[in-house]
Amino acid sequence: MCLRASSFAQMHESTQWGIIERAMTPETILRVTHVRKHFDGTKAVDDVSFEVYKGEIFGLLGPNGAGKTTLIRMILGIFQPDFGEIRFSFSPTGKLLPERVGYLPEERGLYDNRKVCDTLVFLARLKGMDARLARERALLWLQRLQLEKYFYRNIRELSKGMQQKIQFIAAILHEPDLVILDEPFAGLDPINQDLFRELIVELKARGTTILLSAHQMHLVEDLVDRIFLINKGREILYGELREIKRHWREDWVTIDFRGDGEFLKESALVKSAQIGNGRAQLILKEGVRPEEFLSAIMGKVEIEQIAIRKPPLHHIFVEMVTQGEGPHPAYGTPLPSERERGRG
Amino acid sequence: MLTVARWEFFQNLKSKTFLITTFVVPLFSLGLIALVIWIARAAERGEALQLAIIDRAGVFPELSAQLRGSGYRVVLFPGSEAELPARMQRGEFVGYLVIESDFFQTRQARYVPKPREGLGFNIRELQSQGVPRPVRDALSQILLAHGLREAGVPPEKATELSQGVQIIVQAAPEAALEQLKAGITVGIGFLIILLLLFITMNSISWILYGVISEKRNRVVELVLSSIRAHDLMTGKILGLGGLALVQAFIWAIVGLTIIFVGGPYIGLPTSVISLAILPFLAWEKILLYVAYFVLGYLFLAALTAAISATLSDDPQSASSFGMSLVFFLPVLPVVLFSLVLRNPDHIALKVISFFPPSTPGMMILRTAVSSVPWWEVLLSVVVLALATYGMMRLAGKIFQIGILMYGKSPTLRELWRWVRNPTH
Repeated sequence: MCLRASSFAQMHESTQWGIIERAMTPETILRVTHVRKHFDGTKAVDDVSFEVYKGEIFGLLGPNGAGKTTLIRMILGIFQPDFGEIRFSFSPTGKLLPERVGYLPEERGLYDNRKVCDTLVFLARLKGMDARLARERALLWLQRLQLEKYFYRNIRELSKGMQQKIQFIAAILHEPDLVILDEPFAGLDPINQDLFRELIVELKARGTTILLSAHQMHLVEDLVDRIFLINKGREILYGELREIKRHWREDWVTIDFRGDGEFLKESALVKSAQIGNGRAQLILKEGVRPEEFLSAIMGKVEIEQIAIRKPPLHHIFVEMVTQGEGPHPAYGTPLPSERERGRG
Repeated sequence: MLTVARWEFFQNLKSKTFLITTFVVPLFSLGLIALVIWIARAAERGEALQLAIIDRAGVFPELSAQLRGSGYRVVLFPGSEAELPARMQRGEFVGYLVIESDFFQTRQARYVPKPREGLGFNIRELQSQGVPRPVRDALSQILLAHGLREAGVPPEKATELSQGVQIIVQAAPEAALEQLKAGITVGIGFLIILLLLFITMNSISWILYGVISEKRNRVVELVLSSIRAHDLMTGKILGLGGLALVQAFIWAIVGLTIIFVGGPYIGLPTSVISLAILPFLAWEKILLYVAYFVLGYLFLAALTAAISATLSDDPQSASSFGMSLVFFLPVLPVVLFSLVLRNPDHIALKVISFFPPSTPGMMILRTAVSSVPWWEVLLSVVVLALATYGMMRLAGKIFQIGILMYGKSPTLRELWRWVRNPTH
């Protein structure tokens, strides 16, 4: 099962003459082609292909054990694929140049018995950076994250959240073209989650390409441009997030009403309903257009407020992963009204 | 790779562990040795063991004179024998002798040792369980002198005849010096092995600790996104090997200073030692030792890196067993030291000389005590070099996969698969 949203939508470009619309072929920074990896007879990654475009935030999503980390390790050259090709645009030969890539691993840690400054400089030196420059930049980043007083301290003295910030600095200190962030939000409190989110947005604004793998769908949804959903080593969904949502033929309706709303549960147009305290949260059946539903309930309850939206990424993720083999019924051609909207 | 080597070198150089093993441990060991020597000397000067004697034959004056300087002293006990056990318990005597009046006829005496206490492992008590040898010898001499006198030999002559033979050891001075020099040469060879072994062991224990902690704290994942696993391994081996060399250098300087500056005060023959060191300063020997050391170190360090990369928390795993082998094999020449001295060309020793982890120690020892044919030396270096090259490659493959495997130790079959198919 492999579903793709229509490749690249129209992109807008702002110029001094106003907004012009033109079709643009985005520049690919990373191309993964038919990559396979087996471990002891288990297919960890099975014929996976995708492209990451320069300057975008690309979400590599999937449940635990789906093959994300193996895929990332292959991109980073830690593992070699059994089959297939991984190519980078920033290298003349297409091969990986470690100094152009930054990495925040999911299985992360730091030398626990070393100083913050020494560790950061060492990791930057491994990326080919000059020691003095690395030191200066490390200090700037620590100041930015209000950790400068820990510059000469032992890493052991830092809390887990602080260590995660140091790891983030290590991933970007050498100003890579592509940064791979594997579960950057794991183990962070909401304040630090927001901070990391902010940092990722900032990186993107600087032109850095980001490959983001995370389980916090609400955070991912706000950040990513395109996603690649992998399960059991295989691609199950790939494309621009906006397009994917457009293709999702299920609408979520929230209604605040007066009167008896119990009939909504029985409606033939509704897939599932949660009703209570004058509010109904409904998922419409696949293919049911919101207008159809509206006219069906008109006059039966007094509507105070109504909101129609596409389901969140979280829902799409869960549906796609639990669906198993075969195409998902909710994923197909956009409904006619949506096509209209898309064109606008 | 050099970045890693430098990092490992300087970071560990600054660590407390390095300072402790370089300065505190040797000082502690020296202190311990001094303490042992002091105790041994004190024991030598210790009081003589005291025996009670119930003398009904009148041998006491003669026996007492005979035992002078033997470490035993007899005290004439005028009371009854029944009192003696209690006095022995109080520690006054370690045993008592009963010499009956018919001693010269029966040629018999009775000895009662102090009953043993506790587990009975007190060395002084154990020593006095049998009749002490000086006491036995003295009584025999008294009997002999008495017999000679009975036979009509004049008393002075009888006493003289009863004395045993006295042998004065006298060797030619040059030969003695040569012997001493040869002994010291072997001793220095042995010390060199110990030093090299210590450097190697020290360094591989750092590798072991370093790899395990990098694996445990997961930093290795980050490092491997920048450099190849093989470079990480080699960098570690070089950096920590260099560090161990620095440590050995410090020890050698301090040791030599102690020997040549402090040596004369404790009676060390420093001039002979400097003569004995000379054969080791020939450039071809130094070159050979360096080759043995470097190759042997690389072999063991690579093996250690590979094994430690596969170590899990399970002490029963095959890797843990492998680790104990790494520590045992190079020590083999030291264990077999006395055998090498007696028969350096024994076929078993020759075989062990070609067994990589033991080659450096065994060959250094053998070349120090006998003249090993040049082809054997050359062959051992070639075999060691090839084995080391093979081990570095093999270890690289295992390290690459093992270092990223969390949780469990691989089975031997899995290891074999990694070696055959290193593209993981």
